[in-house]
Amino acid sequence: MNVSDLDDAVLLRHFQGNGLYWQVGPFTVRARCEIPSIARQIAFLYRDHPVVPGPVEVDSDILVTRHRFLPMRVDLLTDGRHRERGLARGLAVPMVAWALNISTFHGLHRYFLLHAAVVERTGRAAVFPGDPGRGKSTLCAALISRGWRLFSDELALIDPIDGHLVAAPRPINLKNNSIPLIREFAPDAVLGPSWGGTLKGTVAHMLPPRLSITHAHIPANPGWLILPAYTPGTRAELRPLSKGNALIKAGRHAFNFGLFGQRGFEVLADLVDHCECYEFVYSDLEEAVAALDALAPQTAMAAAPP
Amino acid sequence: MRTPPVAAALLSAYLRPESALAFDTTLRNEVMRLAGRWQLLPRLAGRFNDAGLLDRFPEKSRTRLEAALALGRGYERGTLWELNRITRALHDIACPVVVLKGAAYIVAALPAGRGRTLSDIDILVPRDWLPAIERAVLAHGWEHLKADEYDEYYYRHWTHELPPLFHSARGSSLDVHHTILPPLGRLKPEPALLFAAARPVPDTLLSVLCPADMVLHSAAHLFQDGDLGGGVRDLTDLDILLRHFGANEPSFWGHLVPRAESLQLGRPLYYALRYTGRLLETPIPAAVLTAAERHRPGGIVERIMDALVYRALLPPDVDSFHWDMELAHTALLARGHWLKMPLPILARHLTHQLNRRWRAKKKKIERR
Repeated sequence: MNVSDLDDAVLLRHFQGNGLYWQVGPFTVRARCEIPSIARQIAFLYRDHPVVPGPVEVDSDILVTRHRFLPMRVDLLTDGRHRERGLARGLAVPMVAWALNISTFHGLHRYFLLHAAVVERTGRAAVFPGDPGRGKSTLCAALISRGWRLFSDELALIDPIDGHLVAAPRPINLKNNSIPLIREFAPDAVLGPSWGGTLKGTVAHMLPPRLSITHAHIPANPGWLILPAYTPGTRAELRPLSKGNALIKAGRHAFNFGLFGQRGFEVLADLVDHCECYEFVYSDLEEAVAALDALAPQTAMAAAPP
Repeated sequence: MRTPPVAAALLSAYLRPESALAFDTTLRNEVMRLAGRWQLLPRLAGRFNDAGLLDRFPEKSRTRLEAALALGRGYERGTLWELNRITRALHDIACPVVVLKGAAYIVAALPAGRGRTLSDIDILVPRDWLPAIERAVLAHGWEHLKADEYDEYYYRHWTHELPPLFHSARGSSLDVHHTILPPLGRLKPEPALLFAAARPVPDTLLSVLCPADMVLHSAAHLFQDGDLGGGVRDLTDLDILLRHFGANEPSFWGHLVPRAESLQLGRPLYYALRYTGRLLETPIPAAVLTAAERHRPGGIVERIMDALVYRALLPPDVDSFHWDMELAHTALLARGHWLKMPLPILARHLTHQLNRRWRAKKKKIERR
């Protein structure tokens, strides 16, 4: 059963009661929300995700309440410790999406985390490390609307035990100009409403394709490590990168590897070893997708790793 | 004073780890959230691990606890490396460098260092060496946080620190102290006594405070500075230190109260023993409690402190925002400030801080 299968009354009862629990890849999320309109908008973003009957153990916990004194404002509490007070209602939904992101960054050290977009085809993962604002979310959104499976727009999860990439598909954060760009590039993509006035400008969320969600339990082998650099006026070009360079550049986006000491280094080195490494300049999305498609000629759909 | 249920469950898990196995899912979630908020997860995970209980938790809890253990080990490693870099920066300087608080527990391999997370490293150096030390660390990649002139003035003259130092490449934070309480405050523990009793850490060029002084410093930080932000975690530091030294350090208990008196820290010690005893069941010999009674405040003050400390430390539940907790925190911080500086200076300081906060808020509102 998915979130969208719940009728409105049941949905609100969960949100306003003990919480709605749903699954995002390996993570269980619990959300409580006092305000029906906001609850429905959160439910829309995660409508294709499987509901989990609660109470169960969770990885992320979100609580949205009305501000005690200011009626048009809300408070957001993440994991019992990060509190945003007095949010304007128009900021609640982007903040919740952002909070779930932060929760994973700070909560889990079960996986090695890279700040990177990850998509998969033919059983292999393409990992795009990059700073925010460098276009990786837009590229990611474009790829998944052309047949690649979404693992994450922001968080590469690497299992230290076997080096596999693990999927946790969730709504992709699109900002400002990316929003009309993706609407044009992928008219069939489902986008949530646009929210203006956030710190990053206008934000909208693209829902992950259903297949990405239903297949989220299938990991992938490392395939390609690609450092994207959106550069206006360039033709799409994959420039091979030496493993040493790739290790250093990817390492800049490693989030919790230092916690694991030497093991962290080994896992990152293994990832780089198993990947074809490139720098990728592009400006036109169609060209970019074509260039990346050429890396993985499609013979079979989403083959599971051995 | 009754302890609210989730906090009570967490304390129970801390004191008797096997009790946590009986928590239902909802309570376990809440205890995990509260432990997360209190920076207690690594310490708690260590307790479960030592008791061989990790495998008996359901999968997600076990994963979270194992992750917390890894986090604790990561902090240990990171702290030791940071101290290595500090030693390197200061190797030309011939004065004693005493590591304080969490970093000290880690470098001295004390039980209180396991599962201990820190936000910065604190060291104590003789006052006369401050300029030389400042020059040395600035030359090795540390920078001052950007502050306005008043902050500079405040830090250098009124508090007991250089303005905080920040290492640009490693992102770590260093606080250099020359006393353990503010020089203008009512209590003036003499730094020379601390240095005289400090103990070198084997295989390093660093020292740590002697056991009694470690306990007293922690007590002073909690109950004199008024910074209960670290709350229950800092109280567990005290509990672990007291238990460890009580069992392993000859004449620790007999020495504790006289040492407190020589450092003018009798009152904070009284509070430390009172609240660790009540909340964490720390076993304190009756003779020590009797001796500490000499520093007991008057009835009303003690009752107010009880109310403030309990309210500031123990939330009624994990989710709601509690005004009384905030007020208790503020009251204790205010008390800390009052104890730190004479009234006219305090008035000026607070006015400046309020003014600055108001200006920042105005800017934020204008931007929206």
